[in-house]
Amino acid sequence: MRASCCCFAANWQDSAAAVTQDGSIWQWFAALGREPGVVEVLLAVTIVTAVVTFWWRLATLVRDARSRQSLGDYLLGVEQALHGDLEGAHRRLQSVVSLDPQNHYARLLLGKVLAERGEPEQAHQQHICLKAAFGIDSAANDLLLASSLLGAGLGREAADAAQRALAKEPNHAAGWEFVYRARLQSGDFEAAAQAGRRLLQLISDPPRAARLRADLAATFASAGNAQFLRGDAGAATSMLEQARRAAPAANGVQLLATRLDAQRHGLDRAVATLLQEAPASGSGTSSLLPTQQPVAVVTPRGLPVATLQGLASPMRWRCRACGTALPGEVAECSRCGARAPGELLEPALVNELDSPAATMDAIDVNDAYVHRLVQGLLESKQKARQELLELRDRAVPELLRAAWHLGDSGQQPCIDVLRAMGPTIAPALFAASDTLTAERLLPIGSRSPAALVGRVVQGFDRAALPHVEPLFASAKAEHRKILIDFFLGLADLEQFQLVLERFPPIEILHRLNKAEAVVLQRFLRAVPKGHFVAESLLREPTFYRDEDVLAAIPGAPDPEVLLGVLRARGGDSAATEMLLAALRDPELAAVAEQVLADLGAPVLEHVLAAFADPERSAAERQRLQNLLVRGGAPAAALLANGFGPEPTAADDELRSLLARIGDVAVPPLQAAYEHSGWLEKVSIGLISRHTNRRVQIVMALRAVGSAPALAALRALLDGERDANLRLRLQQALHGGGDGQGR
Amino acid sequence: MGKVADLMRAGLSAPFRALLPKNPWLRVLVYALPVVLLLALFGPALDVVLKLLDFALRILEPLLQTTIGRVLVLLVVFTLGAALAVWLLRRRVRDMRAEAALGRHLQATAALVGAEAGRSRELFKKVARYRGPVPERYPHLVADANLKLARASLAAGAIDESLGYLASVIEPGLPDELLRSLLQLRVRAWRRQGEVLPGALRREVDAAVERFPQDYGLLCELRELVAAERDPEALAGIAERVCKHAPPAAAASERQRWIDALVAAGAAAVARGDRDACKRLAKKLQHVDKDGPWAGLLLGDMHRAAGDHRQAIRAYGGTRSPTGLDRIAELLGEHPGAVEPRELLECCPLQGTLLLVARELARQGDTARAERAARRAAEALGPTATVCAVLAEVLQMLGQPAKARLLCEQAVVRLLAMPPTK
Repeated sequence: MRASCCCFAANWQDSAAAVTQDGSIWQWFAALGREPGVVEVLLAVTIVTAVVTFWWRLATLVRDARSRQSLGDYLLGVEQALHGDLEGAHRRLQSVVSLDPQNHYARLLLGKVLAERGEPEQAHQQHICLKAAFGIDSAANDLLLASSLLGAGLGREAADAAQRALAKEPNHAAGWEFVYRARLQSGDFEAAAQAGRRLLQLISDPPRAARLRADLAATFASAGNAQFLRGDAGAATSMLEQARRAAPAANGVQLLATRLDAQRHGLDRAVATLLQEAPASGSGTSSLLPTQQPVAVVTPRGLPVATLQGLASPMRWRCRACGTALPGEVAECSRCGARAPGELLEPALVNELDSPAATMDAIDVNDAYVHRLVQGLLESKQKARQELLELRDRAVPELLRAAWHLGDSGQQPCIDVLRAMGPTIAPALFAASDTLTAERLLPIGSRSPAALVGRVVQGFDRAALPHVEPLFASAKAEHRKILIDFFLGLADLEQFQLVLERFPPIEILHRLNKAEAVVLQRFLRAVPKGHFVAESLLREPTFYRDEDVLAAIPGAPDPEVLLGVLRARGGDSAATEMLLAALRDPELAAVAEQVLADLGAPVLEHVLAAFADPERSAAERQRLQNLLVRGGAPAAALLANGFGPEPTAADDELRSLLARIGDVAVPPLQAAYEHSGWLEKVSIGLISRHTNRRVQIVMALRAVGSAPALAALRALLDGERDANLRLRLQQALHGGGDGQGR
Repeated sequence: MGKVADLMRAGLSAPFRALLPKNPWLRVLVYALPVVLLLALFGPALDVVLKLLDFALRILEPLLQTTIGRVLVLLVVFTLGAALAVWLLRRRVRDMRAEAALGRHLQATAALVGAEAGRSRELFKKVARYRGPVPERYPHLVADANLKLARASLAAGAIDESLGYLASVIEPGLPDELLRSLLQLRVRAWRRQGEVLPGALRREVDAAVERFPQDYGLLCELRELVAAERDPEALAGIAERVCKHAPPAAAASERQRWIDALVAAGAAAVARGDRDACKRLAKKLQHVDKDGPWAGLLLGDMHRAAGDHRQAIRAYGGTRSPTGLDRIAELLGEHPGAVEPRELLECCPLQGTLLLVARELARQGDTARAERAARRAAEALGPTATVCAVLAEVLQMLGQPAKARLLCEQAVVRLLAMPPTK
């Protein structure tokens, strides 16, 4: 054996030497093969190697098979899952997984089955278990995990998970298709476009690639539109170019192109261009105008839909996830796979009408509609007011009727609307008034519709003259009232001359007394000096609107006219009360004070009474003080009689007023001291002369402090027999006394 | 008697058996020893044996002189050794082959589950070619592999190949799970192939459905066949069964198909004037799709076909759907003035109906009311695509094309929805 080995080695060396000599490896192999034992050894080694390899592979297969538990259940479960028996597959695979937790493929398939059974959360759990607990890092598992996420409605997360899985297996077409759909479902068109581009590279089937290209163009357009709305016009333009390259007629491409055009050249121009450039349907011209009829793509059945040059979808539904036009409320979007994706493009079409009868009434503009509008107006609905204003003459009778029925409580909104309609409704207004008047059973004046009409026309301007003039020819008393009211409302004394010439003063005074405050004040302000109205009508005792005369003074161009009227009307109780009340009004207080001052002594008693009212404000009392001070001697006489039997705080105020009146107050005070007060008269000499009244007079004289006052005090001292009063007088004369009564 | 004899025999042989070695080879040797001794006693026989050995050596000797001879001897020795080993381990080899086939099947299944279609196909093909002993743990190995190959072929569109695999499956003794797959795949392949006569195919599908009445796949196949028979009502019946047994993931789409089938059946009933069928189908639709418009639409179609336009509009309007509006529009297009606008609004109190009212009034020449209706519609609905189209027609009739153009402009502006300028 050793010898043969040596021989073999020697031959080997010889052969090798031969190879090196002539350089032919094949000759060397041939020489080696000719050596005895070489081929046999090689053959034996080959056979043994083959047997060992075969044995090893066989053993591996057997080991794998034997390591599996519940093998029959597993394989039958797989078959059940494949043929759609999800219940059976679920039961079997669940059992397999529980007995053989290492059977990852059973778990993987179980996840798939669970997803198909509509249990994405459970499916996700299985895939997570494979990934986290068993460290299975396969693209298949990750894609199923993404699928379960999508089933659970987490489109964005699903797409992210799938994209991570595809990093390991970048040529997985189904995976990229999943990402594309998931991105579409989550509305992320830009990411969907990227996934779609990758998918397009992996698809070899030409028809499928063509379909995807068209779909991808729509996705580019959607992405572009989203970018455009975000304000990124550059990116949107890039998307438009890609969409046009893929499929220029795809959905959304036209819209994106028009939007970009509008941004570049202005919206108006874009709209005009679009509407002008509409291809005409057989007419040879180009316009979207209805005359050429290209505006509408008439649906095969039913209402037409205007596609507006491809900007709008011809279908009524779209996918709420990816925006694809849908033929109806389908169960699943064929493009993105979203469940129940239908969204109505024009949801308002199927919005319920509040009231079909009311709507039809509105179209008919019948009485019920107008009545409803008037009700709305009274409930302060702005829309009702607007619609009534638009209806004009049609709404006048109902408005007037409503105002008439409501009376003073709620008629103002109706009158306002009638006024806002303008003078052109005058004929309708008069006609409505006549109709209402004719319907009355008892013609009671205060409930006359004419009064309402009069209030309405008072709000009209000169433009109503042509409409009002025909009323001059009317003999109806109602029309006469309306006429006077209208001219009152005009506040034009020149025009009012027509009224003065045609109507008796008593009728005019009647309308003046019935006029609205605002209207009357406006009219009074317009009265010029020396006009008949100011000199005569307003001074009539049957004119009862003193408060409006007073209120008109502040804004009047010539206040003296109305002041003269008030002065001339005198200070009777009602007028004085009105003037005293006006002292509360900051706008009228000054005028009222002036008028009261002008009215003089007759109103001083009222002024003093008002001054004594403790509820009056300080400002009011100040004005009353001024009036009393300006009242002079008569005021002093009244004040001297104002001291009560007991000292009060009011005594101090009266004394201070007397002091402000000054020397003029001395004679009345002296006179008041000398005559008896009402208490003495009532007690018939039963009480002493030393009363609070006399003490206050003494103190008032002391407060005046002038020479005549001191002279009066001396005179009073000389004539006084009462010791207490004498003491008071002496104190007053010598500057003593505390001024606090007895 | 027999028991006593057995007992005696066992008792006599017990010490002998106790002395026998445990190794089976040694045991064989012990058994063979007396035989050899006996042969030795017979010299001629031994001579014959020796002669045979000598003959064998004479044959071998020249063979050992040449390379080819030695190779032949080597091959013969290996072959005989292997044959002897296999013969001696034949039971174990059987088990091993079966287990190995099963292992391969498992690998193929794993590849299938792991979405490695090509690899799984190759492995299943190997399993399908296996003709050895079947593993006890899963005796339907080959049938299973054939089914999976058939399914893969069918998915790839190779129908004939698929049918070939299916034909290899021996049906008797197949478990229900595999039988169900077999029936499913077979009817699917036959239907797609289109060479089987429709009657035979229908019988086959019916039998399969009878065997597995809740099988979603088989019911789908049956539906396809019924659809080809153009019997919409039968199709609706099958669609109902399909929907009932559909997996949750497909339930929504199957329900939609069922509704579609019912709608188609309703349309067919309307076409042939079968009012009873219409009412029955409408009731069914009402039950299936409570919130949907289809029942009302079908009743509307029925009334319309009977010439009762008022009832038809009432039924369409009752659906409160865009489709209902479309149907009313269509009906009014064919029969203008079929109902008064007021009644139209009462039948279908939707904002969209205002468009129809406007169109009706415009057609009647009632300009003022038409204009008011159009205005109300435009205010309520805004410048949408439908409003543009309908009001363009109305305004054209009213002689106001400028307003129609304005509406179009507004619609375009709204569609363009320009972003706020920076």
